[in-house]
Amino acid sequence: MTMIWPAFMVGIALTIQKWGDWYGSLGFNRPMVAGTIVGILLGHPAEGITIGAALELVYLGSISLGGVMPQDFGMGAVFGTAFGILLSSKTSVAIALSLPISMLGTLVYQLFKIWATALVPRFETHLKEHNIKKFNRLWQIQRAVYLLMWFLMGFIGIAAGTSAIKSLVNAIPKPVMSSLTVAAGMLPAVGIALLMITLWNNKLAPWFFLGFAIVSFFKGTMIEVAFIGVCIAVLVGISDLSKNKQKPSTPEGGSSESSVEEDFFND
Amino acid sequence: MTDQVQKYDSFLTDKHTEKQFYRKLFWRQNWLMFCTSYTKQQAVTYSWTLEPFLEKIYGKDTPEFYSAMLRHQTFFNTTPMMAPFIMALNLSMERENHDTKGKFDVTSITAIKSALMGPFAGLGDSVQQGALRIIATGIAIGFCQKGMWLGPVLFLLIYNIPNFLIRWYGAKLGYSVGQEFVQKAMANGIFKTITNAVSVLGLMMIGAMTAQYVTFTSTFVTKAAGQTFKLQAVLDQILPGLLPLVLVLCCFAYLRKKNRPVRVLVAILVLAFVLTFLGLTGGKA
Repeated sequence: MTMIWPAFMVGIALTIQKWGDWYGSLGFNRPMVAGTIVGILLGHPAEGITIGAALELVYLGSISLGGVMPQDFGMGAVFGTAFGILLSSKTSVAIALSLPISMLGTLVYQLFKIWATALVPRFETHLKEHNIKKFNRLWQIQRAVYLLMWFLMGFIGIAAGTSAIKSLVNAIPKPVMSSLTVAAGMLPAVGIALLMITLWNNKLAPWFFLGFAIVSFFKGTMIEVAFIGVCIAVLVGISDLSKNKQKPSTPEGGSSESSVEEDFFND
Repeated sequence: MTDQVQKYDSFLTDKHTEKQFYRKLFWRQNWLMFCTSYTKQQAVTYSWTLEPFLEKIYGKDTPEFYSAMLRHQTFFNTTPMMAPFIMALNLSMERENHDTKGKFDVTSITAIKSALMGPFAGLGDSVQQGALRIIATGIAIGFCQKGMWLGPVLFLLIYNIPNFLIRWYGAKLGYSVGQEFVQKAMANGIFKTITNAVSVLGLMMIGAMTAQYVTFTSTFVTKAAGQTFKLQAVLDQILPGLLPLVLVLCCFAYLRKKNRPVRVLVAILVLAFVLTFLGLTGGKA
């Protein structure tokens, strides 16, 4: 079985995923979407969506904030799903494979970012020389290099790696396999914990437990929790605002101030 | 107030140019993340986005155009979704600078940019990553687990419709409101209020996800004194979902002190192996 065609498709998938991660923050970096893209391109959309969902849970809390990316979960998801589909292996194997690959992805991206950083003074030089054409050309080059880099990454990874990965996966003994399945169920805890850190505030802690209780005790769905959560968030916002308004308006006492604020919110 | 707004605008002269301006800005700002660097983050593409508009304001290849482009080479980093507001606000200031012929203090252009990017990033990240993404994921993932198309489609819609509405209307708002208005809005704590409310929503969703999506149950069964003893049944009597909750809280407590997620990932893998080999998990329930 030749791997050239799937390798080409995964290269395309990785490029689309990276493009949609940055262009307009479309959310293509999320494993759920990345897995779907791979699934469509490899001709197994349903598998792609399912594996993507399992990976999404593992990387739930991994987000790239302020350009810092702890793990390249987008690339991990693309390769994990691709190997999962190509080797028709279990989802837990796809997860286990995606973990080291996502770390490799970070390394690749860091190399690119170092190159991009080296370009920054050149952009400025072109502007100082009043040469906007060169400025624009350089910008187009960095975009092309970025997208091409990911295509090659996906192509080479699948074309060269699949047979090695296949023999590795086949050699996994059964108890290890069931351990991996248990781990796959537990790993979402890391993602959730990471997410908690970004939002945590000791005063807000009870809301976390309330969300847990609605699902765990009363078997609520995520949509039901979201519905209740929006109501509570609005209530919290309103009470915060009325507190804020009382403080600054006492020294100034201007009624025009508050009407401007309301205009801002009505927009 | 209305007199100021209706002041002659040399840049957006009529309805047609106005439409063109917002459309062009919208299509260009989407590229913001490309060419992110360690030293200046999004600065290069920020200036690239403004390029055609600055060209129109100051004229092609004029020294004023190039000095404006160089002005926008300063460090810039914010949630991409929030950038159109700042870009449009900057362009309205550049236009004013051109119209007043040097009476405008150009340092304020860079100053407002630097002043806004921090709070906007805080607000944007908590709205986009903390609330929108979690709600979209929470709702969509159930469908995804069944391999249904609806899952990814729902995720993209719930996540992206507000994303692009904020970009589009952010640009419109940014061009039309003055810089003083922005400073006022920052002073009276609106950003903090929204961030706080969004965190409440986000934390509730995270709590719900803990119960819904962390699978950690014991399959340990033994016979003692003629009765079958199921460990999980006992745990469920204490508190439904106890193991997932404890696991998440342990991860959280560790990660909060030491931000080393990879270590925790490895620790969980090891724990899963140990528990399975001891026969506590992974058997047939």
